[in-house]
Amino acid sequence: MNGKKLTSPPAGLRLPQAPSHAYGEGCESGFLAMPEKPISLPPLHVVERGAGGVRLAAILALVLSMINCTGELPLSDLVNNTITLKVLGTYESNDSYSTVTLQKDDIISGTGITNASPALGTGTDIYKYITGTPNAAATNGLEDMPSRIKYYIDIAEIRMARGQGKSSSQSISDYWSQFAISRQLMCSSYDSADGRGLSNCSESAGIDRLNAFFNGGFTYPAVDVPSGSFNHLGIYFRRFATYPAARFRGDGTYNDGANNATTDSTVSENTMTTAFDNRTLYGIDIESFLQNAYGATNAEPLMFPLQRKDLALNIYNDHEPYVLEVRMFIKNAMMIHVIQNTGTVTPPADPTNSAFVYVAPADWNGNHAYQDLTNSLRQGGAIAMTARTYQPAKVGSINMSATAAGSYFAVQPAGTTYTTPVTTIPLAATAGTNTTITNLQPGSYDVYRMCDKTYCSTASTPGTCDNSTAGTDGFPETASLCTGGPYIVTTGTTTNVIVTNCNASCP
Amino acid sequence: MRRIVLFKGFIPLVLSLAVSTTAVYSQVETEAWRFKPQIGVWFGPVTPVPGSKLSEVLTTSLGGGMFLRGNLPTNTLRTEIGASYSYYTSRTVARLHSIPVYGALVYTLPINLPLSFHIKGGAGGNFLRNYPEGAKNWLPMGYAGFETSFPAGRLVNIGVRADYYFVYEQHLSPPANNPNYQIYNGHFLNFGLMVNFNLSR
Repeated sequence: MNGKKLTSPPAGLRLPQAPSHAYGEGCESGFLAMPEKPISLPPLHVVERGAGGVRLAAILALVLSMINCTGELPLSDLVNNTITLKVLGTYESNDSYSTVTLQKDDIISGTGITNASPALGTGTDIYKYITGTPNAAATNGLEDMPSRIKYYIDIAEIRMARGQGKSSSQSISDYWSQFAISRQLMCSSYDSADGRGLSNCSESAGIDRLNAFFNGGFTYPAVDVPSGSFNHLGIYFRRFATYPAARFRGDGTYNDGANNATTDSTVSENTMTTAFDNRTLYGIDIESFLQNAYGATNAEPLMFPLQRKDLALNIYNDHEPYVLEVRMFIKNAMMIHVIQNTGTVTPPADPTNSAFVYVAPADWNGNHAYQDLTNSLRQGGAIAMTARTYQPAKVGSINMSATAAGSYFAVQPAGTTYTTPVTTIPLAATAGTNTTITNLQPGSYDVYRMCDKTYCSTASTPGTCDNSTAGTDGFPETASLCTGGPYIVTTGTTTNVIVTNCNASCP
Repeated sequence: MRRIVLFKGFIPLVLSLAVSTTAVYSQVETEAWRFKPQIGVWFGPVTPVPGSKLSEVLTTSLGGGMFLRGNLPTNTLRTEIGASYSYYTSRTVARLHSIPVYGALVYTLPINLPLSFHIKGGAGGNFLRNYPEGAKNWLPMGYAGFETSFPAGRLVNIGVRADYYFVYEQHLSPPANNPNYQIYNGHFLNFGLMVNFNLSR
């Protein structure tokens, strides 16, 4: 019976020939609109055996006359979900940059690792591992090979709520709508360090899911939620690991895991292991780095959930399908970091003073230094996220008159404050190499050209990331409003924007 | 000729019929306990039939109900009317309230044991209300059941019962603005511990 459409009731079951009502159509008779007038029943003979059959028929007739009162489908509604939960790992809501760029922390300068003591110059293994120059023997540096980066992401669930957080008197299900509870695994490879493979990721096609995550989004299994407006959305990360990561000794040479020097970078990379999908793999767990903001110990871990409480998610109260789009800025926001997390042994060049090179989201929101034993593992807030809803049958689009490679085109609801330096990602966006922003619910929008002009460094104004000298971090913090707006989007139409109106702040 | 006045709602109707049926059959003379008019209650686990579409959403829950039995001029058949209430939850936000109301014929299997075995078949209507959509409706319903019980004295019988409900929703039309909407029928199982009382001695 599962999934099979019946055209008639099962044999032997006589059902009434009820009129077919359109969905949601009211009815004039039946249980909820039953007239309060006496209803005649067949005569009841007190001692007559056999009256039960007549009585039964009368009862059944009454019950069956009450069917289909509303035309609504209380069972099928539970199965047919109008929501499509689309999850993206890009700044762009459509047509993301096809090429992957990898940023490099500003402490990896042209002369070595800034602030390293002892000095780690361009001739050290740690520097050559990153840049490949000037003494690259046979391979390029990591910065030249973004295709080497592997992602391992495990999302436990996504929740929505109305409010500013669960109070202590509320249960989880009282506060949160747990509408997407299927764990989703994404991985760049099914290989594990122990040779057993990532079976769960493999069985759920995690490579394909990761590819979709970075190219248009994958559909997260979800069920409908009550209609209305939600402001709070949380994404529960169980794990976020990246590969490669490499371990070095205090003097900048490759570390074989026992603090002996080695010349083999693979040996050094293989000393860095973490757990994912109940297996050990090569790489580093960066989720733990992202739980606490720089200089803080957060009461709520920042990745469990990765959340925002200021969203405007309108859940539509009809049966028209809609999309809930959740975006996290991960693709093209990754950066090569280098830290020394043990530096207490004298002399500083002692082999046991280990340093690590790894790949994680850029430090666009708080400077990340080499020898910062207190805060070097606190990069929380580096992943920006947003969410929105739209009904595919009603959307329109915005068309830019020209491309602007390196930038993004973004839209925000008209009147939203969105000024440099921006710290959130916009309602919708597309890569500057593309000209169309699609899937916009009808409404009034401000259009921006977004570009990346500053980064965090020790030269920044304290507490900010406003260094604009020779470097970027991948996060487009500069918002250049396209004049001539706000721009009106209507169903099925394309609204044109002249790109030269958007260049005031962006090159 | 006798008139029964319906007040608001169906439950008063069931209750009033139950009372009148009791009055009728209290005068039926029989020696066998199993042929006495009975009123009973049950409670126990309720679940969508495993493998059915709704079982992918709803989880097993607890339900309970009541029923009333009358006699027919035969030693093996009786009538039963019953109603119950089930509240199904899920691992997500989906919820379902269900009130099936049915009438059935009860056939007593000719097995000569202290235990009495019955199979039942009938039909009725099922009021359903879901969450989060809030859709509600009465749907036609087919019913099949099995039960076994034994007497605990002259007044009380104790037993277990299993009920299957086929809830027919596919006669309805899908919403016009959702072309991918699929309509599914409901299949539910109830299992109950049961106590019923003989209404005459």
